[in-house]
Amino acid sequence: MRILFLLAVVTLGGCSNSITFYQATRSSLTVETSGVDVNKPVQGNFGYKTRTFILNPKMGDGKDVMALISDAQFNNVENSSGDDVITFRAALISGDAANNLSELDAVEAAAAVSMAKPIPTYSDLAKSSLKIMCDGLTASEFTQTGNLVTGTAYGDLTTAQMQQLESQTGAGISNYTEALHNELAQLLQRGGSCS
Amino acid sequence: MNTIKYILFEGITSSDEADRLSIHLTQEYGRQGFELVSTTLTPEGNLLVGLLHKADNA
Repeated sequence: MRILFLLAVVTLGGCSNSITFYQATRSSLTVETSGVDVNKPVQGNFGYKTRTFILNPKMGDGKDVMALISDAQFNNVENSSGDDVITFRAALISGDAANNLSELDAVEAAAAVSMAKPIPTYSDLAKSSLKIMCDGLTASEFTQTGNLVTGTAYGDLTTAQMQQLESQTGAGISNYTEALHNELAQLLQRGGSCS
Repeated sequence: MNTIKYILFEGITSSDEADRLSIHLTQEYGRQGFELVSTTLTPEGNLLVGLLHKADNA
């Protein structure tokens, strides 16, 4: 087992208005065996200690301090070599983003910093595009757009066609990429439909 | 009441992943009226994204 020790110091801003966020985590493992009585079970103790402090400057008239939210997660995961690795993850939200949180938002923020989501693949994004097309287009519009996607190479799309696809697939301005175009074309050619 | 939604994404290591994240955020949240208001890089290299949804009377 490998022990991961994490020490993070984040300093933001200048000298007078800076935030310092410090977090240190230590973990230890003690295993005890008996050389006299071999039948005595192996005993072990595992412990960890974490220390967090934040130097947070006063703002405005000196009565308020900048809002901060910090969250941490302790995990035991298996790496690609099959070893168990203990990880300690932490995140910090500061400034207006934290200050504007409602009570429910704070719960959501805490949940977010505890669980990272993978970035969707182009296959996932193509499926989302198909659903958006199904929700927003008539049957004839869907057929027309589908034919445009499957029948036109990305490089041959006109500006007007590009804008149409940016809107109808929900990708947004300048977000309709060649990779998304090709993945969506493959999905449609495989029979992807609204049913 | 304004609402901020926070989502943490696994570390971004390439422009391709940034493109996919941009499309995903626009598809999933842009159409619901959210706009990007903050991004925070965590010590692990993950990206915390804050999305604001303004109340109609805001």
